[in-house]
Amino acid sequence: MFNKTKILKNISWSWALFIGLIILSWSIIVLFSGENPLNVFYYLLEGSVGNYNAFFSTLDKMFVLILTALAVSIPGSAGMWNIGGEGQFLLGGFTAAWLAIYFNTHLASLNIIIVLSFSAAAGALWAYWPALLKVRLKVDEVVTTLMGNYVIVFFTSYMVNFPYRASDSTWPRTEYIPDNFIIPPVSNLPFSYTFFISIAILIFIEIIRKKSILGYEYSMVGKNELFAKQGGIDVGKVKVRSMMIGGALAGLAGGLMVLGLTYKFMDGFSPGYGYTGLLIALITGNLPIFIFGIAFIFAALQVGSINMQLFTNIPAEISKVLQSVLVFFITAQRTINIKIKKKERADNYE
Amino acid sequence: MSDIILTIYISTVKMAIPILLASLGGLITYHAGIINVAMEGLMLSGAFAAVVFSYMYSSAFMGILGAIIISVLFSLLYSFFVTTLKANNFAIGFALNIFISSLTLYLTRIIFKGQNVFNSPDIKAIPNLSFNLGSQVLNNLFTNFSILVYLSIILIFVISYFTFKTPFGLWLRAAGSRPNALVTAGIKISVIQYSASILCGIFCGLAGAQLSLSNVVLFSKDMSGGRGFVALAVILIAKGKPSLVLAISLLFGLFDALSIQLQSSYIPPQFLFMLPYLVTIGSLIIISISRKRNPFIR
Repeated sequence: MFNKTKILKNISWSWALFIGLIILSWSIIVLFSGENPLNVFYYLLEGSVGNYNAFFSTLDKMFVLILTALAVSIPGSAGMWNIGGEGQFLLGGFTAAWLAIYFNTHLASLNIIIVLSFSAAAGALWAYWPALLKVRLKVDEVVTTLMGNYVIVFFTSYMVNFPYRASDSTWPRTEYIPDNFIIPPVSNLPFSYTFFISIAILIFIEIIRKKSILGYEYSMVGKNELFAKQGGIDVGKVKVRSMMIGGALAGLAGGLMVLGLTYKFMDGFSPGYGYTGLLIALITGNLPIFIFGIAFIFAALQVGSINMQLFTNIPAEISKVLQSVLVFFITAQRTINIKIKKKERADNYE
Repeated sequence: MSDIILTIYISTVKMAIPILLASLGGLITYHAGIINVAMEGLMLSGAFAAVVFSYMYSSAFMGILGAIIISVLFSLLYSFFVTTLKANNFAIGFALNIFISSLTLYLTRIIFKGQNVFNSPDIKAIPNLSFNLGSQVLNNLFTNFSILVYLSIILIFVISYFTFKTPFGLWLRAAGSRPNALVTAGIKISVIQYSASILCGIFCGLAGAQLSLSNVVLFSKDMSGGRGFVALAVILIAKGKPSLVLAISLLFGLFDALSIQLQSSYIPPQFLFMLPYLVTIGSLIIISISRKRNPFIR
């Protein structure tokens, strides 16, 4: 017999258990520091969604996470692993700061568009060679993109420590970018147009994925390479392109970060945004609304933890611990759900 | 001049051992059909636990034991997701790496307020084993390394024997290459994969202990520095052969050592730090080209 209320009840119970377990594990991690978890959660919420300012600062941090997540999920849909988001992001950011300091058209909109294009191109270029190696020589792209991250970390660190270091800086950084490169805040609110750019890209990519031949080709290559090959798709080309699009988005995120948030490039420019994007992509699959939602939660934890650090003894680094705990639970929940569905299907056949 | 060569040699052995140990651990799961991307995190958890336990009990032995226990626990967590829940091993591996990287930093910051380094004179280092071989040259080459260095050389043979000569080794390789045959033989794949995972945890814990209690005697943020992934590259290049693992680990250890030893020269340090990673990429490319030219080379 089909009992709707019973199913609903079961679902809400499993959700309550799921959220309860997350809060419980978060509390245990907070307890390591000897603080009261309730206090900590209060300050986290206050600092991320507690008032207009906090809420908009959270939104302001989302664009990086959305774009770096897409940088993994687009190659992922074509069966490629792009772990190089961190390096592509750093290279995009450095390119933006470097161009903005050494060239100027004196036309703000043109400046921004040119600089962002170069950031995206730099990211795409850094994703190109691992993809090519994978397609031509079967070199594992997980290892090469990851090793590439370390190379770029040291390369950009060299650039801001030696040739392009601002003369008056105590911490290695470039000069500040000129005013006519800055992406302005939205009417005095503490968040800039970068947010809308990332949302536009998210929607645009979803439309391409669902409605265009290109999107169909990508998912076909990702799901069944042999079938795609039989259907006349140049699998290698699709794979390389998907990686380059991913790299371009990560590079663009770096460029937007310089033009809209930091206004310079410095040592330690990224506290691991590439890897955070990777986590988001891994748990959201390819659903844009999930990418948006998880990016919001991750950004809220990141922004809220800075507020929490002011009032408690807990370092802001806890945000990443909480984020990764969330990833464990979401992964577990998804895989268990798949198992249950499979079992139900098997039961139906009997 | 010979002094410099000797210093580089000693430093090469020291830097190669963590990579070697992690590769041996990863090799076991590789044969069991799991490409282990969590080695980076496991090694880091081992390094952190080693320092904490050595500090708490003022004993290097407790440090090593702690490293093994913590690393095995995380390895079991990884295995629970990969083997039992059938989650994607890349996804959960990277989640675990980021979790451990941030958790160890968080705990370090709580213990030593606002610092990225866990450092104290109370941390006991792993003692070096010195014995007399009768000649100065031989003594220089083969003595005065940490106990783990000798242990890991022995372990290469143990693992080699274990994987290719024992029934368990056979099941292990079957779990990776012929899982159906294993099921037919009445052996549970999950049991094999969990045991492989425990062994991998032990090896990664030892690798971490060598990093934080012998190469240096402190814990610093992300001190494994991608060596877990270098170990993954070693396994992919060696295609699961323990003897090749030693040679390749030594090669990567050499470039690690060079990047430290050459720092007084005119080259900016950042380019030297890049060296081990560039060499890893380079060797992956070279090995792929040679495999493509002659597919029968193993």
